[in-house]
Amino acid sequence: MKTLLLRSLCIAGALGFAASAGSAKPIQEKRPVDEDVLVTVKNVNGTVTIEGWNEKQLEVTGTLSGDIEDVEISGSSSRMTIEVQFPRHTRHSSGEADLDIKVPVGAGVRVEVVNCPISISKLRGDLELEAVNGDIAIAGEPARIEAQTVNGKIEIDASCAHVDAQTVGGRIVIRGAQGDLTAATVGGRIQVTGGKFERVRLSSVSGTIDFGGELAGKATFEGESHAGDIVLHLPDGVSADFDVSTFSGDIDNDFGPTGARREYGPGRELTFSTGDGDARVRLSTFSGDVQLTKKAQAESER
Amino acid sequence: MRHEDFRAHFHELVDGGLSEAQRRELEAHADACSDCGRELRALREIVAAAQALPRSIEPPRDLWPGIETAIGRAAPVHARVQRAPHGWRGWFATPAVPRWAAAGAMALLVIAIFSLGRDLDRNRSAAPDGGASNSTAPFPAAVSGLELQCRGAGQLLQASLRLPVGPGTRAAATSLADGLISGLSILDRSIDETRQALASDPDNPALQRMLTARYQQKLALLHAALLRVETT
Repeated sequence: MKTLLLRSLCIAGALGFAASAGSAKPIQEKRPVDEDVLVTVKNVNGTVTIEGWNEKQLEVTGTLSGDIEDVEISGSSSRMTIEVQFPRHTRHSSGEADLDIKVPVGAGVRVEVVNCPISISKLRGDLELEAVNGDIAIAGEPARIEAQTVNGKIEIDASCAHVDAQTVGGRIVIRGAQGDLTAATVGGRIQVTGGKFERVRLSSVSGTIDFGGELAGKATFEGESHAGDIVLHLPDGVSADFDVSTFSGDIDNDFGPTGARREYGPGRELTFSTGDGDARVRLSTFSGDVQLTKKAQAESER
Repeated sequence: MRHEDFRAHFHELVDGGLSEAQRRELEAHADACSDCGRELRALREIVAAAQALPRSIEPPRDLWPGIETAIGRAAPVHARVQRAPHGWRGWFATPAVPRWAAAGAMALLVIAIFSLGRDLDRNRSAAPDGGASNSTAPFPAAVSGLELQCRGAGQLLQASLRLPVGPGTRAAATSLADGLISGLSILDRSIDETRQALASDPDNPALQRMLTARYQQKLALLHAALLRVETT
């Protein structure tokens, strides 16, 4: 009897899966667009993958499932909007839209999603990406990146001179960027490697900030954290003025002094210069530790 | 014009502190960009509504539990009430939230939006190194203001989450809940710790800066959540 019941359940499950799979609706749309078109994508559940290509065409492929009615593609050749459509008068939706979108490499892209990972590659235009519950992954050479997610992580592996990345709980990993960088998180970790930066602002409340980039001649670097540690890996010959303060954390400095205790209250302060003091580095924490470490020669030349 | 350029002067545009040429340029961008235009219209509606309000509205003290409950519920109170095209306007018409509460919260957010920038700019310009100093310490006046603003923004969020919503907004609200609650808890803890430290070292400018920064982050988080729920 038990075997029969199990077999019935398996068959019912298989039929249910087949029915569900059968309800997935494929989409394939193409529109002519300008090479610097601005494309806006709006989705709630599913995935959004956008890739640049060398055609003056916008292509949208993928699948829609559940009660998703359609994907509306509207606009002109210079400005297109792709929006997933829900049934009217519905307050609950289990539907998902998995969108694979191809746009000209020079396109600007704006994405607003709720429960979707966003993946972007091979683009050279401006990116504005916003998710509530989804990871954001960016590769390529975008001119500018603005990325925000509440619950997901942001991973940028791109040569980009203007990056602004913000999360609430997820970590931020940045590789290959340079120039102007802003990254902020409440509970996540910020990790930056490579690149030569002119202006850096990193902020965290409880996560660690780990910076392994280089500072340009007159760079400004501001790092601030409440309980997270701040770790800077800088080349041996870095030329900068350092101003470090922590209320109850420690300071560990490979470049010289480790700071004096405050006259009143706990905490440490440290001010010193290396080289000609070209760049300006300002770090502060409440209870997080600050570590200034020398980057290994090989690592610094990479 | 880029979005960030527009947003940098967004409040001055509503506040009337720009030259005619700047104003025209920003208005042109708002006409061409639907998102920026929507935000501008929403803010103007709030300002107009706030100007019609009584002068003194006391924010509720127990705001946070209310937000948590509202997020946890994320359900409409009166399903038959239709949301206006621009959500801000709809709050005055719905019985889902007491009218005075929504209006009061909006007034507080208006105060938040306008006074935050001014206070910070004032502190920055007054300090010789671009940061705070003992003589221009933002504590306690500006911090008290920020605290009040956070309460107002939280109240707005609470009200927003109780309105009838479509599947996109419902999904956004549900998904926001985890991150928002966790983020706000971390921020509240850090605010408490910094406040305690300031109690024993009240003239410490670094602590004052940190406390201000935490409140700014909290306000930004609440504001972003509001915008997210409103525009989804």
